[in-house]
Amino acid sequence: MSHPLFRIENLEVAVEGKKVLNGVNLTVNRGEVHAIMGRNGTGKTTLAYTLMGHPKYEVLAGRIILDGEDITALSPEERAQKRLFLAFQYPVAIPGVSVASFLRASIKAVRGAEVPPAQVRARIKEELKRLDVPESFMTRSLNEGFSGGEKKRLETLQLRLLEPKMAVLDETDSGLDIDALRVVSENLQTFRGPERGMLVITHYQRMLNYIKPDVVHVFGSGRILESGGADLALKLEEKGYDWVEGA
Amino acid sequence: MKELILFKTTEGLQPSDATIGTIARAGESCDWFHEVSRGNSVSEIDIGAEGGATLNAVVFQNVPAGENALIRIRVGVKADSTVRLTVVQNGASKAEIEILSDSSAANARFELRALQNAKERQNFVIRANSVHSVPHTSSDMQVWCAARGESRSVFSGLIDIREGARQTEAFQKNRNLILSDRATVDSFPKLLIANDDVKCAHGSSTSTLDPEQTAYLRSRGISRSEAEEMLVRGFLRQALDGIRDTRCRNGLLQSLSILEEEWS
Repeated sequence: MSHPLFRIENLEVAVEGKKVLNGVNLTVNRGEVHAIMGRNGTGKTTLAYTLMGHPKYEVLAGRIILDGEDITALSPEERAQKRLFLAFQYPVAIPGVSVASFLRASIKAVRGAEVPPAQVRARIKEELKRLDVPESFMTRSLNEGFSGGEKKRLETLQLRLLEPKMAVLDETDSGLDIDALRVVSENLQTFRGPERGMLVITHYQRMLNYIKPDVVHVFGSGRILESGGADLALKLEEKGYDWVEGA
Repeated sequence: MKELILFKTTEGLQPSDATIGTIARAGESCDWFHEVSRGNSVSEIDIGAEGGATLNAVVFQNVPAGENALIRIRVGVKADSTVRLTVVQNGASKAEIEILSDSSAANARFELRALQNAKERQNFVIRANSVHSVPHTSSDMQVWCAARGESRSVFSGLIDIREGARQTEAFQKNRNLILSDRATVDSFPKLLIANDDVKCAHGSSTSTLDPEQTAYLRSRGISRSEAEEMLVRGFLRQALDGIRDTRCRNGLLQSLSILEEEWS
């Protein structure tokens, strides 16, 4: 396979009539982890939602290509079924829908009926242990009354269960204490693989201590302003964003 | 806005054979379930708790389609006692449930959880009055309604706090989910307070499905139609969370086709 795993081409996006993304270009090859860093309000979350096909975001121009296939016009569920995953920064609460029934429904939808229920249950139990989450979690309503850390653990659990080719993590490190950050980051790190890609959106270097990025991008004014290696994140931590934006 | 009255008289409805119900006494904790399945009838139900008892009661209106039902529930709550009543409207073409709760001694508590699962051309009314006539009583009424098809649903709630009923705490909330542009929901949460020393709140919300919730489920590969059904089932289930008897709760969830597969 000669084509890259994931490619964003000249993406321009509007939200409620206001243009937010102004031509984003990015290529993630198999096995690579890319980080996007940038100030608040520069369009990072808009990019994440657009990649997943959230109906509120209108693509004005450009293409999103997953494993050689143009997915720009696909629905969110079709993108998920093609193994694209978004870990939400603020996952919504859904009262009355248990975590267990939600996970069963999503595993069935993404991985098809080929996974026997007993195998699904065993796999979920194994992942709960890895993430240090009690089994009682499964009977609670989805994200309802969850702490920030519990929400992020559940997003990480879903990522591991759904086994995407390409994962976009939107500030998965926000709202985590030091221990939770370590557990979540280690589980994300071990998810890395030669056939998978990750796009990590973050404000801080701390998560990148665990998930070492191959490429770091600086985001500003709805586009990528600068790209570099892992040392770029350290430079941003030290110098802030002014030097990039002023360049 | 004029409130809908389904049965101005009981003409055409068969009177109740006898009043049914139960009273929990002296420190007991009782579970009581009653299904109204006979159509074109009036049901008279008396329930209560006294002497520090707790009664968990469920009334399930599951009359066959095309028939009507009028259900009158009187709730008496005495000193140091609690009545938790769950009411579900599911069957019938036209059904009205009237609930009158009287908290008439100190530390009496009344909790109502009600669900109207309205579809097709059903007409449902729940009228719930919680009367507080002495000091130090409390009540909490929460009513959910999911409205599909061309259904019409009404909730009319009244917290009635009498002059001497100091230190009353009383709340009511009505949540409505509109699932069709031809369905109608009317909500009348009311307060009648003849006393300054009380804590009260009432509220009503009416909405369609939350697009952010739908988008979240779809991002996990779940189709739009399945995601919407999941959200509706979740909404309906919340009203039944208060039922502590698991068998009873699961039986009701099964009847409404919203029972989730167990996790074990």
